Amino acid sequence: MRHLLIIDETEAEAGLTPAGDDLYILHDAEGSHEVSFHGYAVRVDDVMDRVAVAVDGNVAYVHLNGRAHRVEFREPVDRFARGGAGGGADAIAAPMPGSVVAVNVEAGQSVAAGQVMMVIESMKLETAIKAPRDAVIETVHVSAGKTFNKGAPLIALVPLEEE
Amino acid sequence: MTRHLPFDTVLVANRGEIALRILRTVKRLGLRGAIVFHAADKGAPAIKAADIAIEIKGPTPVAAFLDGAQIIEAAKTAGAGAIHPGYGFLSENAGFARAVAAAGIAFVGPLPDAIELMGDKVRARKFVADRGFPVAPSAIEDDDPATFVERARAVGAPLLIKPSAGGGGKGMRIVRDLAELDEEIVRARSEGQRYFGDGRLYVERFVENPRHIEVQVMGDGHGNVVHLFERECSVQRRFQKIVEETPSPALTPEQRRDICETAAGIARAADYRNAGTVEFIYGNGEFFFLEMNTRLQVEHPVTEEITGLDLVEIQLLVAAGEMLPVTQETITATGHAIELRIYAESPARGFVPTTGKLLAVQWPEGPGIRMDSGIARGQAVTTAFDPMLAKLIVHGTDRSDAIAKAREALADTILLGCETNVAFLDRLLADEVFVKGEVHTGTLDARPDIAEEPPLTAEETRRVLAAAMLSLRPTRDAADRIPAIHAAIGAWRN
Amino acid sequence: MRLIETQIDISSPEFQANAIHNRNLAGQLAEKHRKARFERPQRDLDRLARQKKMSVRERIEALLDPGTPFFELSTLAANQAYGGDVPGAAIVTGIGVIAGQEVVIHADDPAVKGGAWYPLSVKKIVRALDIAIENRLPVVHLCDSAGGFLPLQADLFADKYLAGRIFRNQATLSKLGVPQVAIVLGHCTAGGAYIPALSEYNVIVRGTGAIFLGGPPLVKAATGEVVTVDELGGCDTHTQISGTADYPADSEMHALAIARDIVGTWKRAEKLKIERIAPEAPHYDPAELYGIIPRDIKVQFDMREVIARIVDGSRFHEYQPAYGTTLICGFAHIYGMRVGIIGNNGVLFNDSSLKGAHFMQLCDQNRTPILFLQNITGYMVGREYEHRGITKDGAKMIMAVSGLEVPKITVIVNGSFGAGNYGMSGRAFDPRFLFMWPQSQISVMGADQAANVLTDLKVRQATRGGETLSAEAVAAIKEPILEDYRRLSSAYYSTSEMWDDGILDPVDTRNALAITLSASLNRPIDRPHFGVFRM
Repeated sequence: MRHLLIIDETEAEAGLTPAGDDLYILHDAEGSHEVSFHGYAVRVDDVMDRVAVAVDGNVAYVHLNGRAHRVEFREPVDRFARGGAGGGADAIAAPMPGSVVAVNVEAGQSVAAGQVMMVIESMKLETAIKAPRDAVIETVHVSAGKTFNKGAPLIALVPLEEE
Repeated sequence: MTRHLPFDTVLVANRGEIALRILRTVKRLGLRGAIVFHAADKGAPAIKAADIAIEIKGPTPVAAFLDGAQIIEAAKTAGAGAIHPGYGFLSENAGFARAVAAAGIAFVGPLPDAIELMGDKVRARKFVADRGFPVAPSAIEDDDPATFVERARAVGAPLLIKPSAGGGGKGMRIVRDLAELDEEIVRARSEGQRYFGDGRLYVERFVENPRHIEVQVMGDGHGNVVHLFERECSVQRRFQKIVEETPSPALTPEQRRDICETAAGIARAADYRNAGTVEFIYGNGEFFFLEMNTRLQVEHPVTEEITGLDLVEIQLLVAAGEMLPVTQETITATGHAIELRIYAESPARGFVPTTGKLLAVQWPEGPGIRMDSGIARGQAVTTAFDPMLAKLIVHGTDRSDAIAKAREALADTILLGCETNVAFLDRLLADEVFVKGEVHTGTLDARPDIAEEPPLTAEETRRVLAAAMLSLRPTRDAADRIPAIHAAIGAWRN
Repeated sequence: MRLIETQIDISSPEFQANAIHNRNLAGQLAEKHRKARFERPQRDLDRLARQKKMSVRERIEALLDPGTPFFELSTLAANQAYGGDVPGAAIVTGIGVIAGQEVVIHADDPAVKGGAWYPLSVKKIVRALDIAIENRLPVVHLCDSAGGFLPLQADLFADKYLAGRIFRNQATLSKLGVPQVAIVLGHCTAGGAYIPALSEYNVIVRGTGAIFLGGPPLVKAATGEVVTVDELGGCDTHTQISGTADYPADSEMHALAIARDIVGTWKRAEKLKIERIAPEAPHYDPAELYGIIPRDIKVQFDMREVIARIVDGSRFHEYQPAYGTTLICGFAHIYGMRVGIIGNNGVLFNDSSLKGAHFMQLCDQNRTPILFLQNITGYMVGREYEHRGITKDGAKMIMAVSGLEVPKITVIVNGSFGAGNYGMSGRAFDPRFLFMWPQSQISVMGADQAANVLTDLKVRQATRGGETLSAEAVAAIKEPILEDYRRLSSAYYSTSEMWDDGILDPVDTRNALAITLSASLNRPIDRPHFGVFRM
């Protein structure tokens, strides 16, 4: 699987393999190139260019030929998840037995990933039921004050294919 | 050089590059530099450069710098005998200037009356016109409807007819031949009626492809007023200047003399004290008074470069009650200077301000290159203040030499972590419209292509990818985990 | 080590004729590989497209690190079974690099009979897991199988090395601390359900992935319960309720990305410490191998010329160059890894057998993996050789090859006949890997020789009445025997039955050896110790 990097706003896929002595091979859409990086310069095949690079987490800023570029590494697991990291189920089930404190959504409503859809109480502890992904609510199975068992369906999201 | 001044400490009521630049002169003159700062600027070089730094607070960072009472209090705490307001914030606030004076502190700027006069655009225009200096002719129908057509004709061609109630360019008509004036007034009136339900009109001289040319003046309140030549600031975006240069490539020597003497005349008429700038609109060989700025301008360094004078030093001397250290005859201009404003903004996305953390800052160095910057590596660029990060000023033997120097300097300017306009400035300087000196205030609107980021070539993409992938941990670590033998075999399939 | 001085004249007519012949054979191999990998019934391709499934090849490519090799094993398994309808035995296996980790990949091919397991499919999976066990290689399973092919259940279910062995091998791997991740991309039913269950990590794709002992129809038939696939064994059921699956995935690519992340957390095995130097490409072009292999299997050639086109720098240190000259022994490097090489340069005599047994002990002692290059018609027969003890000298070789602790890899470059196959590390002697070249043959004796024996038997039966047979009649008896014998001793039959791990284009041998040699070094080995040599 190639790495996905977003250069400014353009996507680029590439791989990198070691070639010994701080040399590497860059595998991009058009082929393979021997590359190396010396802190102040980058060499691709036989051409050396001055660069400046600064890194902030998964983002590298690269200054080349008078222009600064923002290069973001996209985590592959996030890249292919439809509803954010870890994915999101369509059926939201009760994580433990308890009762419904508040219902904040209704069928047909759109929710953003992380939005609190419902608050439940169990063992004297309130727990927020958050949207696992951006979604549309299909059904709300319980209303405020109702009790439920572990695993009981609380909310159903419209499956992604149907949205 | 030590002068005996009535104050030994100067408080800078500003931030960023201008604060640092003022402190530089303050310290060179052997004075103590004090500064006020807001927590948003923590770690900024100007704070470190000051002998005394006093924190000011406010509901917003900008509000803190607009809180005159707090600043005067800080000046007292610091024992400052003078306050330099820089530009922006309280620099053109007559009330503040009065309050400073009332506190027994010297205000490094003009007298409050002059600030007030020039701050009122209508009064200023009248003041200038009444004394015979050129202002763009205009005629307001409401002033005297009976004589409107007559007065409109006197404005002269080309002229612009606007509905009084108008806006957004609707109903505006340009008249290039006065023979068509009557007819166009009828049309404009009916359009105004149709769009705004109001047929009243306003006429002003139309300046096609106008250029912004301004003149630096300096007065000492002892009857001496000098000009320090003009600056052209026509390259603008969203009504803000980006590139300023001197001398203007648009003026003939005669026009230069005229415009500079006009500016000096206006300042003299206002018995102007300290540094000021008279702004003109220029087109078709004519110039008209626009407004006067009663402060040190952002772009003052180009004037300093060609005259060899330190404007802040002169400001401080004048504020201390001294006479101007120069006369018009001793002021000469050498070579050509250009200032480029480096902004945290995205030219390709309509020049919207950008934010980020400055992970790498490298400024160009060399003869004829001056960087006025107030930022350092590690600093956060936020939307709390103006997006200007720094000014690059170059001084060359002539305009083409200055442009070449500026482009070299831009190539050596590295700012990482926040998108800036550096590459855009280089594209602008390389463009024929700038090289030929044919810019006007609408150039960037007419040429949106200059703001566009050209796509990377395949070779450039590869270099950027290589540098990034060898610097980012996930990609580099992934490569380093691959066994050497398998990497050597490559993407082989049997 | 000395650079081998070639004796080959690449402009000779003989070389040119060989080159044309063997390039042609390599071309045929490539075409068979292509068909086995990519030619599928349109109906199956349409079904996978409807299900938004990637092909097994796309899945593997997405899983691998870019710019690294994938060495596919037994591509042509089952090529002569089931009417040729089950290419690759519906399974893809191979060695690749995922997140920097050498792994064995086992992938069901849903485009072949819905990924159903045939007897040879089971054999292929078991073999892949044997490779994982023997070389301590982690395993990535790509599960998408309709389950065992019921009409042939008797041939795939009960015996020691049949389906149960898959799960026994998985458990063995786990016990050895070698991790596995299963990616559930389709249904894992009945036995297949245990593959993800027995893997330390598994990922399941929402919508298409399911794990259950019995699918909804079977459940309904057994208990009357009506249940959907998702409720019974879908992604959310297993990742949220049963805990049978570990990571939910939104799509196949998502699942593959998660699996790569999992593999990236695994500790890489400490490699066996062998002598290593910087790799060097062979001095002689490996493509010259095509001109070296004779067109007729009975024609002798110098194995040094083969070695010169496989090893680093074509450099070789020959051991006992003047003794037992029909067996070449010596040291070389492959991608910088020191190997001992034992190659046939003729029939095995007493001295060459003793030399071979001695050299094997030497390599075991100095911890050098051994590469066997087979081109062997057998041990010499005849009174003189029996008197000299050719049988007990051959036994010494077999004792040595069986007792080796260092990894062995065998390539049958031409003929592999009779007991020579044993002494030269045939399949029964657990070489870590065994490969064949396209023209090579393997059988208890050469085809002509065997056909003659069989023909004689038939002729004797037919002439029991005393009549004599015409030459035509003898030929009519011999020809089908010869034809059948040739087929059963061909590399393609061997690979169909998985007597080997695949047929190699000769020019691919160097890379194949590097990858398998590197893989073999993952397993720690015991101190040298052998059985009793008959002296």
